[in-house]
Amino acid sequence: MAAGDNKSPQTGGKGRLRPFLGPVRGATNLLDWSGRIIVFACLTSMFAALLVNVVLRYAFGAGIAWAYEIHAILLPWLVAGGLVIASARAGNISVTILSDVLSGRRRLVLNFMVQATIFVISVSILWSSQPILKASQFQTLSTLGIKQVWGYSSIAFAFGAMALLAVFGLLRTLSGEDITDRDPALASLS
Amino acid sequence: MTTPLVWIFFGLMVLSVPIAHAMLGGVAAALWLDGKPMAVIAQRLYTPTQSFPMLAIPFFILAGNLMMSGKFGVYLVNTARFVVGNFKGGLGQVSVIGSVMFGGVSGSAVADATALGNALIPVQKAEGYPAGFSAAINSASSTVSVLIPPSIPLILYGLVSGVSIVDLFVAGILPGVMLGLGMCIAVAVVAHMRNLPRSPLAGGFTAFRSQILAAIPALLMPVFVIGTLRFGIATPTEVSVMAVAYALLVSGLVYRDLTFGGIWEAAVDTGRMTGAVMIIIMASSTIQWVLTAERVPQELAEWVQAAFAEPWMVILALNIVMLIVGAFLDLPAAVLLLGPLFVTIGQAIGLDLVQLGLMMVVNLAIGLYTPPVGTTLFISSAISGASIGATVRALLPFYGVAIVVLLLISYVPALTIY
Amino acid sequence: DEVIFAHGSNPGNPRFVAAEKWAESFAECSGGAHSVNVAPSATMGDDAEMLTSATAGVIQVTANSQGAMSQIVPEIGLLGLPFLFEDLPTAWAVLDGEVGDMIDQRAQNAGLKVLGFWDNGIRHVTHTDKAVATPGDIAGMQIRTPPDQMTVDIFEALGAAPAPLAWSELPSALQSGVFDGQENPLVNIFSANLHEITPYITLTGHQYQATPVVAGMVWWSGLDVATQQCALDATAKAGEMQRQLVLESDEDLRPKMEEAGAQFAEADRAAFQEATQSVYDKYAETYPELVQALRDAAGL
Ligand code: NA
Ligand code: NA
Repeated sequence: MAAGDNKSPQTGGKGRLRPFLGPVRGATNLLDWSGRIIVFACLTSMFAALLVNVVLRYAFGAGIAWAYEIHAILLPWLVAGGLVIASARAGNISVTILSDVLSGRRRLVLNFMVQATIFVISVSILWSSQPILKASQFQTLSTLGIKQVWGYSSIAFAFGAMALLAVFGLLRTLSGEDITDRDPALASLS
Repeated sequence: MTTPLVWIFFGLMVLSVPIAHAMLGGVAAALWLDGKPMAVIAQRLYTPTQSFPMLAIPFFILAGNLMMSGKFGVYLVNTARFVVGNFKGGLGQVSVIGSVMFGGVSGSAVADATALGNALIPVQKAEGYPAGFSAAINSASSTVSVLIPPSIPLILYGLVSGVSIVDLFVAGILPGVMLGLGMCIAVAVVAHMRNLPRSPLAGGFTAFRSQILAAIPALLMPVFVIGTLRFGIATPTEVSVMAVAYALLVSGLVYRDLTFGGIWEAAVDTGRMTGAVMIIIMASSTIQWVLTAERVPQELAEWVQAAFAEPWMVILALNIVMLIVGAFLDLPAAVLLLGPLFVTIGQAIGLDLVQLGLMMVVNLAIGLYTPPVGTTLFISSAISGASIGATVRALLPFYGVAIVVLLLISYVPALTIY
Repeated sequence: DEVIFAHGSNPGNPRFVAAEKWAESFAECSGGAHSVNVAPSATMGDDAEMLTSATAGVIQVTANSQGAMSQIVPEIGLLGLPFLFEDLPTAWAVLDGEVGDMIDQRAQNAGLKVLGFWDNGIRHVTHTDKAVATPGDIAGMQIRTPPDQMTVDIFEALGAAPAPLAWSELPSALQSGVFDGQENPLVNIFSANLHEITPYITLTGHQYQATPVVAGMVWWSGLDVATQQCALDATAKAGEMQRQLVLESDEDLRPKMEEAGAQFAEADRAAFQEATQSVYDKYAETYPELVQALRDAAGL
């Protein structure tokens, strides 16, 4: 399920914003899909590498050295992809007591503030990560020979995407849509 | 830096900002106010993703997702039904025993509450169980999953405390079984008071034989996990990878319900859960940086030692803090937030760190079915259609059982240290 | 200004003691213009992360590791060529000379200034059930290594089955028999109690490792010449003490581990040198001059 197709706006959307909503849903869906593809690719390749390594080690007494290093690039990307999916579906873990007791217009105002906060925080982290991204260009993983910046850039991708999704959330909230209406099982990892 | 951090974090969290962003907002503001380079945030966010043992989390989630996407659930319920269905309130017992068995496949209470709740609550209601009681059994018993290995919260605790994940898994079995038994007793008492029906498996032993034969490959997974870990065949991360291979084999060869679509869905959902839990681990890592820079854990440990004369008082205080935090915060987030501080305190009073880990998970798992924020409570009430209030009233005996087990774990080291 | 000096060692380790010494010397000779905040025990991240932090200006100085540093300046990894240095003083002479200057030049291009080299010690092999006195004893051994290509190359040349594994997973992996043994300096073996799981310690001394002390270039180039000299002096002064402590602690540790049941053995150095020549040849293809310079300096 993508965020775009499982939630319908409470109202038909305010006139001025209605033209934006189609593209916003499309872009949210696109980010969700990018997350799904990244997650699937990272998870399956790490699974294959580690399984082959275990089998080789027990069957032939010699593993593949880079199997222990591949996660240094792929785990950050798995996380980034997963984060984008979770954010696109408003599925990040939150304490929602206040948002649950509010309803109607007040709830929309709160949702607006939350999305604005997420936007500001995501953008400041994206912005402040530049020196680290620059520094990581000089680091190369020992056995794989890949530059660390390929892993660090997942942070930029994740926070960039979260900032974008927050902007989309703002637009959807302005149009009267309740973007926090969701399944409790999606918002917990217990 | 600590004071603005704490205020901004709590303020944003109360406003319903996602917990990770609330943490990051607090850290960013604290660093900025103190004139420290904010680049440290990106650096610390990245650190947990470089940990090889961390890989066990997505792979155990994936193994559980794959196993549960198939027909295993039906066989499991039928097997439990043969074992305990004959008692009064038999379907209630099935819910508890099912959770214990389910716990060996899945590391997550939410997966358990959703899968078993959807399978059992409608049938229980049809047999005359009050909706609130059905929801109560499901929401409490599903938390047994996080004690029977594999367990995501125990892996997280192992990572923050440096305690061996193998030791934690082994130590989780007994508390998990104790909770399960205690909840069976609670169900039995209520069933006799309300005269709830027996629900034996139709077809008796013949039916049981076919069901158990089908369920056994999946039920052997915890034996496989603990066996390979305990007898040194592989490290926790490798075992989590082998558990995925095992789940693929079982659903492909035994249940024959493996499809590309199923694998895709399981993988995408694993990614979503990994992302949502890892961002909290990553954001806590930025908080730990600020706290360590200001020596907060050490000072807190010194303060606790000065404030409480005896170790048992410290343990009681830790438990009370956890019950309060757990009432509001999701289990993994609470483990990550409190873990590093509690480990410092535990070491100061000579508490075994494996015991502390089990104490934390048993305690914080209670929070999953307490208001105001309780995930299995919400899921189960939603499935049964009971109000939160009715479910909470029916939960009272289960709270009692959980508190007794918690006290035993907290004060009888022999239950968790072998 | 506050200077963060970060490293990964715990109290009691020579590096920990030397970092305190560095802080004291630097604060003193910079005339109180700088205060030093020492962050030990990897609280600022692991070695690779501390290097990123230093380059990015999050921290100013780090006492780091040869392995992490070789991800930025591959040439420093050549110090780990097998059986290169007879003893620690030979290694020091090389590092404090032209080879050290060359590494510093390369590091500066990547945003890091090498202030000096401390020691990490010499690595030895431990095994669960036998001494490995000759290359034949190592053949077929399942050995854990850090994720470092040179170390992997050495043990592959010796016919072993090296597999890199995270340090945090090592004790449980050894305990469970996933590996026959591992290799580390004595101080690491002792601090993680590895001699209790793998009690056969052969003093192979197969690899030397330095502890490069590096500063971020942004911070470094902002200092005046006197303060720069002060940082170099503080590094040299603390380094002298640190190298002495490493020497002494190796001597102290042996009886302590023997008391706990460890069995020490000597290795046939000449035979091992002979068996690992292919590693020199491999690296000479990429770095012919430096490998030759190291061979000459070490008298190989
Ligand atoms: Na479990
Ligand atoms: Na709760």
